[in-house]
Amino acid sequence: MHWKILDLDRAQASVKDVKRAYAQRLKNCRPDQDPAGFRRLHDAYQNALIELEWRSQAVPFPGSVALPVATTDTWQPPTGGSSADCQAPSAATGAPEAPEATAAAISRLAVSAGAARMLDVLDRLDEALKNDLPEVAERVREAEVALFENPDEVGRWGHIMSQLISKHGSHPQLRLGPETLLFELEHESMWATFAVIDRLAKSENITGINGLAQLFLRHKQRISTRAGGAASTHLACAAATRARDKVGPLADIAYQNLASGERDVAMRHIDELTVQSDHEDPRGPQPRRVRHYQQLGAAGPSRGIPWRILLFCIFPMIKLLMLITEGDHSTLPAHYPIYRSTERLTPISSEEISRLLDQPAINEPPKNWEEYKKRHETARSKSFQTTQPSGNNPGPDPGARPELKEPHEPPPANK
Amino acid sequence: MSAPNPASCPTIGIDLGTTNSLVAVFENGQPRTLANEFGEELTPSVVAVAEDGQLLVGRAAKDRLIVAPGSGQACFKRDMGTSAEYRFGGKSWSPIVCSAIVLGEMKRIAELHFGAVPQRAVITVPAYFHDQQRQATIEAAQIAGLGVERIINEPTAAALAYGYSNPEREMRILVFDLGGGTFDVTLLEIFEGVVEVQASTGESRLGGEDYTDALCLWLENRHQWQPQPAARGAWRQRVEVAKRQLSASESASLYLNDGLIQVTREDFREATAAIHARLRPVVARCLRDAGLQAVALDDILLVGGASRMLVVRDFIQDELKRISSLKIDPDRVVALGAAVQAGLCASDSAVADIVLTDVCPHTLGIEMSKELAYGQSEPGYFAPIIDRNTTVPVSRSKLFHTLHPQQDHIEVRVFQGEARLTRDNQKIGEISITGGLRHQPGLHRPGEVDIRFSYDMNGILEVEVTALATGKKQSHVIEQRPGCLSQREIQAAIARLQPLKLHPRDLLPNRARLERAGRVYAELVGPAREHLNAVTDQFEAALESRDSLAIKQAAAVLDSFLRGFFEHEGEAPAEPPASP
Repeated sequence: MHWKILDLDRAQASVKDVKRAYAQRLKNCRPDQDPAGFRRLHDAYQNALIELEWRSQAVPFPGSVALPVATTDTWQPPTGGSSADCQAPSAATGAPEAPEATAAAISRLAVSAGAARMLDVLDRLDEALKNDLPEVAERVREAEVALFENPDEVGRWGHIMSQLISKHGSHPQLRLGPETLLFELEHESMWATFAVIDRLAKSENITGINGLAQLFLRHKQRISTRAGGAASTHLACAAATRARDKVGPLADIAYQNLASGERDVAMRHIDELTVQSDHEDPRGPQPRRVRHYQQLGAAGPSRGIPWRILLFCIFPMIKLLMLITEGDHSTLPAHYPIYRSTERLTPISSEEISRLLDQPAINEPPKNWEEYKKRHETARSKSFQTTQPSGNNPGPDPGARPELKEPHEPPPANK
Repeated sequence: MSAPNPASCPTIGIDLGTTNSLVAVFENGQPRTLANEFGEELTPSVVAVAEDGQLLVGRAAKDRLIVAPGSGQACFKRDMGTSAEYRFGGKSWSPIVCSAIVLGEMKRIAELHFGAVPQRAVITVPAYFHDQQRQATIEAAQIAGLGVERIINEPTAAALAYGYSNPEREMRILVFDLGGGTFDVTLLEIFEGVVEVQASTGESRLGGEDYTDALCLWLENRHQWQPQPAARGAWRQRVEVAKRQLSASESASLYLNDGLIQVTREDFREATAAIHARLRPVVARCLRDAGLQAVALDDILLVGGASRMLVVRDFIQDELKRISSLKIDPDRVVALGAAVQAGLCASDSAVADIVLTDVCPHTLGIEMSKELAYGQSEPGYFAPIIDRNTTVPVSRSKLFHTLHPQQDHIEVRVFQGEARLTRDNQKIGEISITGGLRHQPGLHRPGEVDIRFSYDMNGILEVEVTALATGKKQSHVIEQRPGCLSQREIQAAIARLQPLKLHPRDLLPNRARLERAGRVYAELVGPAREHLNAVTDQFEAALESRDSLAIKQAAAVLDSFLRGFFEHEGEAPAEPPASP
């Protein structure tokens, strides 16, 4: 469609051709004289550029997930293909020998002298932590200084530090200074900050979460990066069940700093956790600012209708429930303004529900099931490779982390 | 240039700046800026009232303000679109009226060149100006008697001027526009005669004036000294001069409380660190919105007088890892671009190959409620529909639901801004829909509405709401802009300005000369002051005599004295000149 508007051959067109064709046609439908024509042309131009971008990035998928590289014989890659990625961390928690391999593995990847020094410092920190030596605090300071001296290596530093934190997080002296976290976020990396947040959440350290939230709020300007937005989202999720008053301001930071796609997902995630924490709260739902329909954005003549009327609405509600639980979720509008929780409908008997569920689904699964499944799995493993934060997946082998940066590189042959 | 044609004047391009304003025209295939009778192209955006109640504008007003800070107003562009009021000269002035007076001066300069009154103008505004600020600018033009052909963004104008003179080059440039009071960053691509804006961000209260204020405050704190209210204008002017000197030399000296003090670049860096920290997020956001890394840029275009500061150049070098190689006058480029746009609007054949596409700088959306838990709904969330930095004209839609099955009425409140909650954004309009929304048996998709926003090149937003169950449509063009003047108020503002007619034209240069002499008088001491006093007295006497030859001679004497004091504004030596 868009190729036809630009009058180009889809198979052979280059970015330059697309731009030239767009420029030529633009002279005949200027945005101020022919808005509709311009809109059509501009959409075609954008779509063509996006398609070319996709095509240039399309590489044959290697078939299996890039597993951590084995550098010593102690680490056996789990068998079972892509399904192994979930088990990998738990399988490896019992392999504390991994860090020795780290130095060798990483120093081979190291590019600069500064980076090598930084890795050295981190290795010594790991050593100190493992043997519980008294100089841990000193080593941590050293590691921080190494980060400040190598701002280009912030990603690698963060990966290694996040693994140290997830492994030895309970060590009382393994504490990163606020300046370090801000520095990391400022330089578009978030791994260590994620690990710190995970650690605080895991140990139910509410003071810590509050303090970190205050730090983020005070230095809003400095962390106005994408990494800052991601970290704010993560912290808001952690705060949802522990420090409710911080969720809103943190969500504001996240909203400001994320791109529109991630932003919607992040906001929904935060909302869902807030709802969940409401249900889990033994005191019941927390009071909110406004409860009256009169003041809602979408207010209606339901003003004055007593709550009892709700009983009569239960049947349309069941229909809605059907739509939400049975319907194809992808057809739901992206901005579904209402997050309905199924809990409020529990008065329906379980027989009723099972009867409803037995009815044929509104959208049937695709006919060629095999292909659908394959595609689905590909998408899943891809997203694991590129977006899984290390906080959720304390990798078994710290040396493996930097490998994730080159997902297209086939893993070396395992023994 | 062709001989002035008394019958017509082309559409003019005006750069209405925070500190200075310029006017330019597009003629014979080239844009050029116009100068006033002093040969100056930059007119300070300052309005003041003289002691005898006459209205001063431009250079004369700026000099008057240094002597008597309370008698006029500068930097009123920052308050455009707000309900700010200034009091001077025994009257109350709004930013719109002040802007109108400066626009009137621009109109007069164009008239000087063409012998005809210009009717229409293209006016530039900072890219980050929101709807109300743009509307206020249009009203100022109406009060000044100018029809607005188009409002365009300053960085876009700068890029247009650059793209017009280099149409063959294909490049991606970042326009870094740090003016007197506003800061804009725009990323654009030029190819095949197309000037395509890809992202535009900014901050409307950050500029060179803030740097001066910060340096003033820092020096006052360091030396534990406060100027007298009457001397504040002169003090600020001295700091301003020192700030400019720091762009060229390592340190500058200035008078503080009759003693000479030194200020170095390091001091300046320290004094303005807080302001400086606000630049980085804006640049980062612009690159993020365009989906680009700094390395993908081909060049950087520096616009605005404040971009000359060395700290700003250092910042660009640190942040974007490159130095600007485009040699273009940062003060005039915006006005030249406005003139090119005027040529585009007039379908001038010289610009037939140039097409400009722009983006909307703000996110547009509606207010929604979220149902969080136990049937409690929380209103006040912002649902973006048109994301910022989408190419205009654009049309986008999203689906929404009613909160309650029996609900038959919704209110669509339209907001503009970047915050998650609507209370932090700006409301620009409202529509309410009744009927066809209630859930009823047999209805397909009950309670669902499709909300479509269409945004055109002039910044007019059309909102269309469709109830999906019935297919009923309702559309509304957002016009109501709170805080703006109605037609009658514009008439009233014009009427109010009538008694304040400008001083007769032939006298204005003399007036400016006297104001400048008064300002220099305040700076001088000893014999130099006596001498100036004598020269000024002579000039005033000549003015009284109405003898044109005597006036000319006395003016020449006074001018040569003043020229000795400073050649150009901003490069004035702080030391008093040797007495002749």
